[in-house]
Amino acid sequence: MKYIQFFFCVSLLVCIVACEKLDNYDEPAETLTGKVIDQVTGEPLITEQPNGYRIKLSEISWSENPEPEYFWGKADGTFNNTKLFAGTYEVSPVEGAFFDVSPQTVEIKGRVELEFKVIPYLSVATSGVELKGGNTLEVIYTISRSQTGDKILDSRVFVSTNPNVGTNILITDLSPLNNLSETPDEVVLETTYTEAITGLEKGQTYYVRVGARTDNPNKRYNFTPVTAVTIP
Amino acid sequence: MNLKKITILSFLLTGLWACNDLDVPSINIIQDQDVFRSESGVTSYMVRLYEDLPVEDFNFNEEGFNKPLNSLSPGNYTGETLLCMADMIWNNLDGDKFQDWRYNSVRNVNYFIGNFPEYTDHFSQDLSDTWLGEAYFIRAYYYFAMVKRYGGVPIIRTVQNYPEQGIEELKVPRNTEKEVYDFIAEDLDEAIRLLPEHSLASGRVNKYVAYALKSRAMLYAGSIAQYGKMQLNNILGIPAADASYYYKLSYEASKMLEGTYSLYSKYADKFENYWRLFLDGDSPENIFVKYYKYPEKTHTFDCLHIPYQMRGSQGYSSRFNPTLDLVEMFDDIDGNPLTLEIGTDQNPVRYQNRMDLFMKVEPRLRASVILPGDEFKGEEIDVQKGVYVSYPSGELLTSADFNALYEGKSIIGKSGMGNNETTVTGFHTRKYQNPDADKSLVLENRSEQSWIDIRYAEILLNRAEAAFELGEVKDALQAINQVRERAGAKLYTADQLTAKVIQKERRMELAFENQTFWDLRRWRVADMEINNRQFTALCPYYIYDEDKYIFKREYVGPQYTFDVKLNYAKIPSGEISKNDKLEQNPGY
Repeated sequence: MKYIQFFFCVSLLVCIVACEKLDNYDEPAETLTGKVIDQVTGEPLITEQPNGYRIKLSEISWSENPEPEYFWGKADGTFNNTKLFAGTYEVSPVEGAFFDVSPQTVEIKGRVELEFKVIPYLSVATSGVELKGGNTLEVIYTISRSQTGDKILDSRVFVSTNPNVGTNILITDLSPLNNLSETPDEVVLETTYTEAITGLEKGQTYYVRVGARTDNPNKRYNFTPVTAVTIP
Repeated sequence: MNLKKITILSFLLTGLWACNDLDVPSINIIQDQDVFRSESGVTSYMVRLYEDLPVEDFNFNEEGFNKPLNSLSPGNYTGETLLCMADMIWNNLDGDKFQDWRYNSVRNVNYFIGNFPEYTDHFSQDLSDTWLGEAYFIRAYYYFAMVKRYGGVPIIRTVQNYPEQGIEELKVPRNTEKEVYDFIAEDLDEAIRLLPEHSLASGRVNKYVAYALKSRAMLYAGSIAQYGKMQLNNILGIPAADASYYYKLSYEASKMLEGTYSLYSKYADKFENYWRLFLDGDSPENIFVKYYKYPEKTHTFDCLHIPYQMRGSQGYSSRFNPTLDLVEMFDDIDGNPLTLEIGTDQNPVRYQNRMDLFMKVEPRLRASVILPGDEFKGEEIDVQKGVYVSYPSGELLTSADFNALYEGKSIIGKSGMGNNETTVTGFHTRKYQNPDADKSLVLENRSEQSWIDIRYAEILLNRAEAAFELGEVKDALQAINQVRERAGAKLYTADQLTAKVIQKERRMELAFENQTFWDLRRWRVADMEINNRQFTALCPYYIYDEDKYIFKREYVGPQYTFDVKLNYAKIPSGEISKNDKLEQNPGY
């Protein structure tokens, strides 16, 4: 009996001691950062996060056919990842509301900064976000584009009490969808749209932006910047 | 020679002969010839192939097949139904749900198709043709289940062997979506050629079942060509120019079933006729049926759907509550959109009986959904959300407790709203519920209704959709009107017919049959419809001082969003790490 107990203790000790060795591979510490530039405005592409765009990374140092990794770009058009392994990568922004761009091959070591110039599917511009008659919000906007792509599907004024307003966060009843799928694109691009939002609560601050989208595979919207409106 | 030498020599000789015959097939493993030479052997092989069919029945949920508690089913993600509060789904759908990577089963059927032909001379030509036809049908069914989820998948036609084939050779990249649909059509054509007109046994397939599956699969291909986008180097999507080609294949397949099957119309009362059609084993509408039999093979349908007041000793109930959004999709008997006269919040319409609100609904709706206050199993289904002492100025009493009373009147009725295991929308499902099951039999794994996987009404709707897209409006009209006639709805005229109207008809007729989820995906409308969407309920309240009921429309459950990427499921990551030639679908 004694013997068994002793044996048991020893094997337990062995088990505890045996697993102490740490992973000897350095943790990922390289940084990839940069911007996705809207060619039309020359400014970073304004979008949302998530569901704006992703950065696709294919590490080609090891294999010709690697399984890609992704991370989400930020709503202000920048991207930043500080936890990458050193290596050679093909980098490209994908799944956003812009035409495909060719990937850039880059060796990531230390801090690497990249810039991608993209052509957005659509550009939306507001010429006025105004309060009319106390609690009606009037939003005037136009849609344009510099390159013809898929059919224009719809536009929408997104309203929310959260500053991160967009397709992820919105108040459905206050965010009317303007269906344009039956309207010819030429007409859409020449029209100035006016949307009146009613039913806003007094004293509340609302965040408003306009989005428009083409029938692109991921149904992504192109957005205007967010405007804050406080109802008196 | 001395004795020693002789001994050594004889040992050596023994050694030489002894091992001669050891290379025999192992006798404790059943060999091909044991299985494929006898009728019973082949039949038992077939059992496995059939059992693996991904039939989306009572036991199908987001985790796969043969799951007895199936409340996480497609209907509860599309706003057709909502779960009771105890089990409510709070998250959006993601790409890991409703997976079916079915290459194990594909291997089994490929093995049969590859090896059985060597043994055909043991059977009559007809019999071996039938079996092979069944195998081709089954393979098409497996692939259809995969292509509708993932888009293009690798086409494996023959059994892969390891280690005879190298690892690299075994890694097969994805075919295009078009190639997979063509492969399905090719297998089904082969099945149609080989299969007889009558099945070997009920639940097995014949020529017409293969036509029926072809009608469904080719319709999917047509709509993907029409509404989808080409992505991932054509692995996803079908060229738009091919839409009419696939619609035509579907249309022609649907036509072949004409005359052999017909819509169920045994009872004169359209309401009774409609709910009975799902429970009648002799229905001429049933094309392909998966049978259940207690105690060997059962499901839990009644236990999960039953109104609270009739639930059995193991509990559950109300896991599938049809939304008001679905109910309002139906027409009234005059062919107008159903408008429920509930009045305004200030001045709601008062009703003596709750069913008075639903006087004019089409019989199909009443037969699919148990409306509040309607009768089921000879009892009134007592749904009520609370009691107003008087309206609008009086106090509103609500409760989660069935024993709570106000002046002797129950606050939430017998199946009322407020308890976390009762309906959240005011409605229950009637379709498929067995009205004869005694309360003592409403238990887990006790139900044995058959699941109708393909019925003739679907074929007519396939035909209407395909014919309409091909410009055959007249034919589309007669097909859709057959369905509406039986449903007790007003018939359409040719100028009323649009693609949207046909889609709506399909959603009404096939509600709760696990079809709408896939339909919304293939029409590419799921992301439009379910976009930050909260579904609605119809809540009856009792006004005490007037002894009347009023109804209110209320939002219930979370806001759901169907992400566009979910039009294709995620390729399981485990499969990609085994086979790096598989490309992941976009967005994952």
